[in-house]
Amino acid sequence: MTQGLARHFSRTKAHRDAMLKNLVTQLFQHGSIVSTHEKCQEASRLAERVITMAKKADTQPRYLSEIQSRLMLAGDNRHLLQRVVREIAPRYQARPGGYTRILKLEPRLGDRAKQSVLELVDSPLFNSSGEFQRGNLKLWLLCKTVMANEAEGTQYSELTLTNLKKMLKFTDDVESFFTKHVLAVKKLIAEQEGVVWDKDRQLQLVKELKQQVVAQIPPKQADKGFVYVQQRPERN
Amino acid sequence: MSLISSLPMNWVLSKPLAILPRWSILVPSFLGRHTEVKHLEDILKKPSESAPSLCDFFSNNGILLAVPKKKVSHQKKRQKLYAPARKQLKMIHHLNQCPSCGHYKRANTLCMHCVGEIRHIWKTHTAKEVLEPPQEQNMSDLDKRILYPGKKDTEYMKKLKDKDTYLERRMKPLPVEKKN
Repeated sequence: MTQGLARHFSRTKAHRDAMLKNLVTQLFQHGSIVSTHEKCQEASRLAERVITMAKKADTQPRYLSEIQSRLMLAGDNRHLLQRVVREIAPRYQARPGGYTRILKLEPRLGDRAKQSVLELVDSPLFNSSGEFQRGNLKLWLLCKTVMANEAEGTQYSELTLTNLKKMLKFTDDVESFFTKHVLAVKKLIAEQEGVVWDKDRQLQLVKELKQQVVAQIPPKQADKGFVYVQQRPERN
Repeated sequence: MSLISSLPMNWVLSKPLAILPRWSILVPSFLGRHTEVKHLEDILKKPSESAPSLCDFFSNNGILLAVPKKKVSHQKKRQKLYAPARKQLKMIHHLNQCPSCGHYKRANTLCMHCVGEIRHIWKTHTAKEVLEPPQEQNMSDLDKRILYPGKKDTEYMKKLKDKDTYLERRMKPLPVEKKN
């Protein structure tokens, strides 16, 4: 099914398939995984394919067997298929692809291999049964930045606001994104850093943050140093 | 005097027969026996030659192994190691400030310190408690010690558990100094 060339990873076909299958399964299980950059890129292609199929599985049940053959569904993950179809796929109904995100990390210490984080976009802090789940590192880092700015009393940078706005692109409930997710993440970080948690003040801060993010206008292309023009400029 | 008889009897018996074919290569039974034997006898009779050197001579079967012909000169060595640019350390110009901790980080890369902290939070909140098996839950410490005497670590295991001695840890980069 996969078109074009893919990396071989110095493995036989069977070995390579098993490895990628494992990576994709772990991604759905944990929401965020760390691996070498190249493996992340290949695994992300397969993961997106699985999610696309899971989105269609409700109307076309034949996709279920397709997904089954692409995941390791035993042991810990014996209920994963149901989770992918019922919990993960509905999250991306409005999103036309781009369900995963790759973030670069520093080279690995042992062999200086390029490392990356592969994670599911928009994964919530708590799963359907109310348990804490890992994932969405980008949101966590943004919250950490926001907290650092608040502690220093500086303004949120434009990039932080833009990045937060990007997270809202396919969410309908902007209010609960800030009051539930951002607040919960900030609280956990505060616990870790041993900062005193003042609930009212934090609610106020989150409200202000929300206003700023919603009002944020993403930088235009002109700001990036180039402009698209409709017609070729005339020569003098 | 034949060659075998010139050697001490113990030595002949104790040495494996594996080396004997080499004798036959060097000393064919009828052709050129005279000259070869004389040569070998000379080696054997040298006062400085003792058993180990004898073994050495026969273990290589008289064949020399390949070795560098000359010492690599100072110039050649430095040309080889330090002339190619790809082998030299490169300057890291692509540095940024981490927006959350304010320390240096590589551009287009996450700050490993902050990522590590977040992953630590994840780990503490998702770690599952491992319950003791039901038969051990109401057992006193003394009972446990008698029934399940603790595993004793070998020296190797102890070394393996002492991770600080051999594991490379990532250091936190320096904070970015504010420009006045």
